[in-house]
This record gives sequence, C-alpha cells and structure tokens, in this order.
Amino acid sequence: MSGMTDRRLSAARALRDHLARAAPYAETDVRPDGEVVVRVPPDKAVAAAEALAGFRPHPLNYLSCASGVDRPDDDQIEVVYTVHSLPGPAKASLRVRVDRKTERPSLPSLVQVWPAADYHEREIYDLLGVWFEGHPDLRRILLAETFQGHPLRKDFVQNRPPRRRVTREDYQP
Amino acid sequence: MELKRRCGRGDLPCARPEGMRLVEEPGDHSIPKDSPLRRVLPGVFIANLQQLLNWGRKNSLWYMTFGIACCAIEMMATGASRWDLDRFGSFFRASPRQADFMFISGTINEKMAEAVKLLYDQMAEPKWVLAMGACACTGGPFAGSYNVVDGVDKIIPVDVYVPGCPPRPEALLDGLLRLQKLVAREGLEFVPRGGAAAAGEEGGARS
Amino acid sequence: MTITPEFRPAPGDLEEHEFLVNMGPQHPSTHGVLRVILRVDGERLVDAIPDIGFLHRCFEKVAEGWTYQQVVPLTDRLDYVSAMTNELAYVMAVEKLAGIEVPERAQWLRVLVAELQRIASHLVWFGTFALDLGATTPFLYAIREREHILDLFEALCGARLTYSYMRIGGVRGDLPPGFVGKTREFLKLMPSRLREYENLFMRNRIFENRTKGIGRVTAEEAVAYGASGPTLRGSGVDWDLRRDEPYSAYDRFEFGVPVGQSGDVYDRAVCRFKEMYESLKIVEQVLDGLPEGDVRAKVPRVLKPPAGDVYTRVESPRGEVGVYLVSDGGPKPYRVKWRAPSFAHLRLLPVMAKGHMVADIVAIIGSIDIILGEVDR
Repeated sequence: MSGMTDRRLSAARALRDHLARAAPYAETDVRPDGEVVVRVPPDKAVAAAEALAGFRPHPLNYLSCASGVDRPDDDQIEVVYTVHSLPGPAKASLRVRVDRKTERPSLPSLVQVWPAADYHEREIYDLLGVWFEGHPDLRRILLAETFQGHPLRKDFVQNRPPRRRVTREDYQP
Repeated sequence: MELKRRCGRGDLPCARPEGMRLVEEPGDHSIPKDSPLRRVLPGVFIANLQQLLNWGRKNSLWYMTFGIACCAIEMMATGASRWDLDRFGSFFRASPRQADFMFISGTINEKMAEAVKLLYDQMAEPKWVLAMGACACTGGPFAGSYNVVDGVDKIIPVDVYVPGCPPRPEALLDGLLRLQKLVAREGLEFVPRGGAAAAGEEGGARS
Repeated sequence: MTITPEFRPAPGDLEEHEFLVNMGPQHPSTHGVLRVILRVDGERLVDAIPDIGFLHRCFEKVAEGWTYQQVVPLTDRLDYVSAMTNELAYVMAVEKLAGIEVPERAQWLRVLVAELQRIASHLVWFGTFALDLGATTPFLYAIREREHILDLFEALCGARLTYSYMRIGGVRGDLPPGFVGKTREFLKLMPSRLREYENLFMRNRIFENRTKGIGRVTAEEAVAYGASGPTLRGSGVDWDLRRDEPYSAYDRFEFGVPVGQSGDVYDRAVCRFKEMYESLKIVEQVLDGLPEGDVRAKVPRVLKPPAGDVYTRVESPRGEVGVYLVSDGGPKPYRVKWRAPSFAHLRLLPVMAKGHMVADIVAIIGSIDIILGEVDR
C-alpha cells in the first residue's frame, strides 16, 4: 500500500506542475496521501476540469463523486468533484464555492468534461439547491417534483403536515 | 407461536379448522354407531360455510411481490428454499389484482406513498396488509426524516405488524400465521370500506 | 377515419407514434423500487429514462445527526445485499480522518467477511437475474448456498442481513469457535456447486441468446459515465480496487480479476459469476494465514476526528463504493456523502437500452445488479 502512495505522490507533484501551467488561476495543494486539492472560482470551473482531464500521462478522466457541502458559516456551498485517473494513480478534488445568500447559487455544469456528473449534479441541485448552468436536464432526481426546499441545507426545516394512522373503517380509497 | 392442534403425523399445524369433523372419524360419538347416516353417506363432513370459506382463504393467501428495501431480501429468503412460504399456501403474484395480501417490506417515503396507495386500491377484496420490518411499522431507523413516512399505516390500514430490522424469516412466518388466524375469524358479511355506519353493527367480524 | 369490421388500412392511412410504457416502481424485475419510463417505437426501445427516489430515506441528513459510531448500522441499510462492504467503506473513511490504525488481525477479518459477502451478494444477483430471465430454479439453489454464508455471519455477529460487524478501529468481535471449520466445509462444497450452476445456467443456450450482444457499453463510455466493478470490467477495462488500490489486507492475497471483452450483458454476467470463484480463493488464503492479535484498536468513546475531509473507496460486489466524509471537529459527521456504484450505472441504462427490444430491458437492468437502497440512499 505504501507503493501506491508513493506512485500517487509522484503523480500528484506532476499534476501540480501541470496545473501551474494549464490552470494558473487555481490554488493547488498536495495532501500527504497524494490527493491534489484544486480550488477555483465558479467561472473557471470548466477550464480547470478540462485541464485536469488533459493531464498526461494520467488524465483524470474518471469522476468518482460530486458532493455538495453546505457551509453556512462561510455563507457558501462547496461543490467537490473527486476525480481519479483510470487506470493510474492520480487523484484530485476540484472544489468550487458558490455564494449561498443568493436566490440561485449557480456554477457551470461539468457534464461535457465528465458525463458521469449528470446525475451527481442533479442530486446536488435537488438536495442543496445549487443550479448548474448548461446541464441538459436539471430537475429533481431523488425527491418528488412537488417537494419544497432543499433538505441537505443546514437550515432546512421540515414542514410536512403530520399524518394520522389509518384504520380499516376510516380508510378512503 | 402456539400450535394447538397437531395432526397425527407429526408437528405440522393442522389445516383442518375447528368445528369440521369427518363422519367416519374414529371416536366421533355424536353420530350413533348404528345410525343409517354412517352407512349411507361415508366421507361426508359437516362444516359451517363461514369456517370453510375462511379455511380456504387462509391456506392460500397469495401475496403481491412488493419488495421495497432490505426487508425484501429477507422476504425473498423466506419464500425460497429454507423457509418455504409455498407450504403455507402463499405464493407471489406480481399483479395486485391477483393478490390477497401485501407484504410491505421496506421504508415508505413521500414519493412511494402514492404508489403504495394505488397498489392497495387495486387489490380486490378481501385484502390484508402485513407490515414487515421496523420501517413499515413505524419508520424504523429513518423515522422523523424529511422524506420518510413513519409507518405504512399512515397510508393504508395494516392488519399485522412484524417488527425487526430485518425480521428473521421465522418472525415473518409467525406474522403470516397470525394473519391466517385473523383471516379465520372473518365474517361472511361484506363490510363496505370507507367509514360507513354499517361497519359498526355487531356481527361484522372485522376487528 | 372510422374503424369498422370491414376496414383494411392502406399503407399511409395509419399514423405511427412512439409511446411510453411505464415500468415500475412495483415490478417483479426491477430489483427494488425503480421506475423506468420506456419510450418505445413498436417493439424497439428508443429511450429508457429512470425515475428514482422511491427509496430516498434521507441517509445523509440522518447521519449528520448521529455520532460516528452510530452511523455504522445506518450504512448497512444502503446496499443491503452487501452490507459488509458498506460498513467497510465508512469505517475506513473515519479511520483515515481520525488517524486510527487498525490491527492486522482485524484487517484480515475484514477481508474475510468482505469476500464472503461478495459471494453472498453475487448469489442473490445470480438468483434474481435468472428469475428475471424466466428460470425459477437457480434462484432456489442460489439462496440455498447463500444460507450457508448467512449461517456463518449469524454465528459471527448475530445478524443475517444488516450486520453492524465493523467498528471504527477494527471489527466487533473475534471468530467464534468452530467458525473456521464451518467455513472450510463451505469452501469445499462451493466450487462444485458453482460449476453446476455454470452448466445449468451460464452455458445454457437460451441464456446466451438472451444476453449476448445486448446492452453493449464501450470501454470509453463506461469510464466516462463512472462505471465500476463488473459493469466496467465487462467492457474490457481491467480495473479492480482490491488489486490496483489495495486497502485492508488485500495486497497480501493472490486472486484473479475476470475481465470481459464486449461490454454486453453476457460479459458482465460472466465476470460477476467468475468473481465468486476468486473470492473463494481469497477466503481460503485468509483462513490459512490469519494472524493473531487484537480485533479492535482503542478508540475514544466520543470520537472527534480533526476537521477536514476524505474520500475513501472500496470494491463492493457492485463496484466502487465511495464515502466523502467531512468533519468539523465535533462528535457527529458534518457531511457524509455516499457514492453508490448503482447510481452511476443507472446513468448507463439509456446508453445500454437504445435500439433493443422491450423484452431486453429486463436483462439489461439485471446485468447492472442495481440495488435501490444505495441509489436513493
């Protein structure tokens, strides 16, 4: 396992150098386990993603996961794209922060770079209320279309009317 | 689980309901030995229509396959090789129109609630519901969250609750046998669904 | 245009339209509450649009309200057919974040239960896949073998389906007496049974006709859409997290990784089936070399990992299960994001289904081995 960490670290350093040339606006950080953390503003998200996917010899072509994290203390919602190179040791996470106070926090969709982002972005829209510009089909995926609110936000409050137990006598089909 | 009556062959629960007796049964002293009835009509049994109907119904309760979550896997295991549900007469029918009862095995959420209600409405009378697992009984480990309905009895009336997470196949079988006991107690009168005042008359055996 | 009994349409009289067929959420073949809206042109599928969320149980929100240890049984309920690998992904994430080192014996035990779980999960897949394609017998055989594994798990941790066996820092308890003997008996009887099922089902001509050439996914598509596990390997991409990014004690064992070629339903099915043989090999190696020691590291009762985040992934029977865990230094996780392989594979469903017949959609869904618990969380 330490062999893998070494390979990952050397790939990480090469990736950092590549990003210094291809995406100079990005803040990069190499973690001890070899993950490259890339922070970019929302308008540079697509360019940074393309830079990651264009890295040789380990293009970061495999989007493992796109997660949204609500950070009300910073008034921001962070969207984290965790990407790997498949096959290969490189690992990076592209982090974009959007302003939470607006009506429609939004950032460009990365579907054209990583098609796997499709459902993940729909889920972040559904549960956190982040709009993805350019997404082919941005609608709720897990919750019903009629659901109000974005539940994974830290300030979400439930307001469903309470349901009462139904017995055979008072069941209405 | 009490098995009060056992067949002479072993410890299988006896399928013959109480009150039903063969005229030829040894030890049956209610019909005298020299009565012409014994000679003229061998193999006749006397039963009450309600008991006969209920006996037929309870021994062939066909369930609708409605596996929702984890409990569905245990339901499948109960229907499979080791704890065969078929020996109790229960068999899966995918269409609600052909099913007698429904195992609700899994968590019901707001999106699924409409589908559950639709399926329940599509089932033909008489129908029963067995809530399997903690989620179907009261919401389970997910109770109180924003999308979960705390128990399927908030949507449709439930007859038997089988708690567990997931309940063991033996527990599910216990639930099924209790459902069979419930079915055996049903009356012949048709009780209209939907809060009719007629439901309150004595004789309507639905409890 | 009125239709009378004497009506004979000329070509050009009738209009043809596509129509929508609703499949699910209650359907004997959707392996859970999946709704697929099929756009059909006659008998040909134009598109298959999944509609999910019928089992969305708010796992991620509930997990934010429970402590790190309490979330372990909650993770069981996600991919309920292979609960051990879920727990493994989660506890590995917490251990990485908190810097906890797991004792050697616990690592080996984790591999043992994960591989047994893989066999059990693939048996469920095998049984239900066969049932979907119309063969009712393999299901009963598969569940019979699976009961052996569930007996072992029950002896080990008391539960048949949702185990809560893994703990942060190790596993719950050591092997009970007699466990190794029973497992070895199981290892002796299983290969011949698997060969029997192979001859009965996988080599069956009807099976081959129903699955060869159906639901093709190229390697580029599979990687682009985030496929993993047998769905990825069926398309010819040789990638297995156990071998290529080893975790727990996987780097100590020798095992093969079956890889397909054409990315159709048949190749995915064969990959999954052959993995069962490989898992048996791993279990045997674990039993032969199990080291002595503790099964649990000392972890504080109130665990507060330092603030930060981590993404860990494991190879579950379905593919890559990932956990993105964010901590704010408190006793409860700040954010637990669950990356489910079936969620990514569902995005491949329209890609796989296009152009096939309506009757093939069942085989395609079965080959993805989808579990809605992890898709919807």
